[in-house]
Amino acid sequence: MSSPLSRRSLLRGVGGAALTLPLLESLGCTGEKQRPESRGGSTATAKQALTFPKRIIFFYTPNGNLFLPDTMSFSGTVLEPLTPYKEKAVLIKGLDLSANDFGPGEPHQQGMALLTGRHLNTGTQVGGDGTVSGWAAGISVDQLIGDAIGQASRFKTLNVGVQSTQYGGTEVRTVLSYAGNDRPIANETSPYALYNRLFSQLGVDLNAINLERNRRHSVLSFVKARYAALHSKVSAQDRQKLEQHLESVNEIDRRLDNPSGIAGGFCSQPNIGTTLNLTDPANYGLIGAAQMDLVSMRWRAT
Amino acid sequence: MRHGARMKNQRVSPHTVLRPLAILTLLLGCDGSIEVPSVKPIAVKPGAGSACTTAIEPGPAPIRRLTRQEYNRTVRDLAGDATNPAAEFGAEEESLGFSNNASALVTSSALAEKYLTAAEGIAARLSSKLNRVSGYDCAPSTQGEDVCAARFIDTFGLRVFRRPLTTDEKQGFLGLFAEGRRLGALDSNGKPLDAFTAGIELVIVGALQSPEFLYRVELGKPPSSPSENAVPVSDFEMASRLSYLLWGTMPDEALLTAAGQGRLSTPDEIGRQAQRLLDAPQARETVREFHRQWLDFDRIHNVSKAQSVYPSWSAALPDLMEEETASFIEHVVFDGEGSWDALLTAPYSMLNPTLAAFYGVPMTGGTQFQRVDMAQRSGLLTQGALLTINAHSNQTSPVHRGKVIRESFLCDTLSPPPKDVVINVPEPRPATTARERFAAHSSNPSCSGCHTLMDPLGFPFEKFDGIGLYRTTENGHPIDDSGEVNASDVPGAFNGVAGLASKLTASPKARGCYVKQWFRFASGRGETARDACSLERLDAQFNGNGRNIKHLLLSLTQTDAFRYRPTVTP
Repeated sequence: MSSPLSRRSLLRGVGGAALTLPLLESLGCTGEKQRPESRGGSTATAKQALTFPKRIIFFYTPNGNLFLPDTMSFSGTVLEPLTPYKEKAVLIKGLDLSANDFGPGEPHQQGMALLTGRHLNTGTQVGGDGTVSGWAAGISVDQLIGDAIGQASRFKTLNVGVQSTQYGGTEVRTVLSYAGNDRPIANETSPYALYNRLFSQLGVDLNAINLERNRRHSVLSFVKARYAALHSKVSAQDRQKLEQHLESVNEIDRRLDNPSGIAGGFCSQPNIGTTLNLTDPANYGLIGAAQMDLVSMRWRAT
Repeated sequence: MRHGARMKNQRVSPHTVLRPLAILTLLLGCDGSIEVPSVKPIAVKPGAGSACTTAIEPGPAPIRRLTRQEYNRTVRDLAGDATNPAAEFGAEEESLGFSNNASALVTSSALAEKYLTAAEGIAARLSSKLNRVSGYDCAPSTQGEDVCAARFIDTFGLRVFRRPLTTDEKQGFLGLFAEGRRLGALDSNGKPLDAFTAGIELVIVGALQSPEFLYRVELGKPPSSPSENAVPVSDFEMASRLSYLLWGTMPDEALLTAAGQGRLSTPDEIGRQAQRLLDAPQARETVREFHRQWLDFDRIHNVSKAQSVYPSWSAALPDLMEEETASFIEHVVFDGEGSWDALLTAPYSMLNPTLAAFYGVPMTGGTQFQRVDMAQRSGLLTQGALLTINAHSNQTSPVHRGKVIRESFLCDTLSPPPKDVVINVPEPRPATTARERFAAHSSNPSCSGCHTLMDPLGFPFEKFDGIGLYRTTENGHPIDDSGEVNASDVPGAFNGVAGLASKLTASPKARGCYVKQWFRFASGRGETARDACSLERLDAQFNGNGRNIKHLLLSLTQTDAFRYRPTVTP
């Protein structure tokens, strides 16, 4: 596994478009073990389509450098890879969300409140031209949808970026998702960290997974009590900060019991190869592809 | 990767090892001003035009979460864990240019989960070498598991919470120990651990996710009367304030001992401890880190330069240039003149042979970074890293260079360009200079309002090209490096970087801006109206003591903002 590409091609399995099944097989998972309901021939395919969990994805690229065609022309445009799905696709262009154009911040900051449908708070985060703003003022639509369709998943949403924090860290211009007012959700920019987070339980014995889950429940209830103990002792502002933290701990505690799909029990852990230089602009495409592969792998799981 | 580069710099390299320094004895006046022999003491007294009154004004003191760097250093010192587990936490939310702003840092569930897995990893690595935990020495097989667990909780608890545990907290940890013991645990090979270790690991995992570890929780000393709106921070809180400010990590044994003995309440002892910390190598890393965040010179790793225009640019240079700037700052502050003035004017830099050859200056002896005279240079202003990041890939950028001076050195905020403006950087054309290409900025009235605040501060850098090399002509034309400071306390025309440096060193506004940047970094927040007196005193002491930067750091520990906090009203 010496070339940076090898890991990705490993993760990809065969075929580019039909990612999921060959990919699971490349991890030592068989469709039968994984999804008993999908056993046998074409009926299984139909059944599987029915049981595929409901998902939604938002892509964002900044700075107006990605041009969508004016018509449904896929060939030779940025949409070309989606050609097999052309019949199922609808292209919408020219939407405007004018709420973003008002309120604090400069346009590169304001535009990032896109999914919240609100303008930014006032604050001290410095934009590209020195203008300051705060975080967005409310929940973003992806999180709202996640609350509705993602409650049974191990991860409610996955928030990934490609070199998005490289120039100014996590700040207004690099955050698209919000759990609520002043609650930005930072991007995972490393495919390696994302991989560890999503698939660390691959190949681990189920008893070991249960033990880990029980220990985590114990320790998280201890941690929650620590946050609760501080509640009445600190100022209102600090309390808000600690409550946000506690809410995040609650969330991971709740999700420990959700089924973790392909994670655990069946599959072996693949060798993930050598580390790609994540800050080299030349690797932008490779990182983006790896992130997308990992997300689509995870999509298969409940 | 950028993060990796930062982590690499945490290691104490040979040239950052402390050279013998004359130890300065501190004498402290009753008004809290520090007096260092050979520098003039300045006592700021309330008076006409002063923001200071007799009231104590600490400003806000929001709860601060450890940054990745602080987390890594803290677990290194707490648990001997040098694996930099925070590397996977993701970049901090930045505010005002710094990554430690208390109100900007937010904990998402993804981060909370990473805290959990990092804590599990640290616990697993630590549990096999518990006797390395300072103050813990116990053998469960002979002394009994409960005795040893209680002893571990006492000694580890003090250091992980950075204060002694209360009885309730000890009980809580003992309960977690019993729970972990009952559940059992596996080692990294899937083999069952002994019950004692399984219990201790859970204690560690719980402690490392507690708010008292991840945050710097401060309650302050109890107010002497209910109406008192500012209270001194407790001795243990002060130990953490000093240690995180100057070393970026948890308090060491000496600080914890001093706090335990109630000796961190007086300005005198606070100053003495600050001096001790400042004299150690760890403080050098902090000074590097502050300047790195202030001027963002680690952005050098992100630049790309056109080979056709800059054939001598190479992939090896970013690492070297970052180190050049960091070592230059360290040298000025700790080994050289020590002053703000020298930071801006020093006609030398810190180079290794590769960089010396790149800049075309002679260097003799050694392969390590060392001080090399460079007559054309003027301190920080002409550092290759800063000249290179504030430039385009194929030409300089007087706008970006001027903007840095305006925003980072003068703390001015510029208005954004008009929303309908089309920003096209003029392409380099033969037989022109940058001044000619960017002339539209001063002739077009919709641009000139702001650009007269930036461009005339950028043209003085024109004798340094887009990769920081000295030149006297561009495209065959002699370079005019005259400039002008508009809208400032040192108005007027000047020539070149030396002229700019003279303006900045003479400018109380620039000096105050540098003080303000340190204050933001130290306090983890922006300044407020209530900090006016703290800032005024800091600035007066800085100015009155030869604008010595180490002195400024000592003074920071003497401000109301550092010694006090608002009374907590839950």
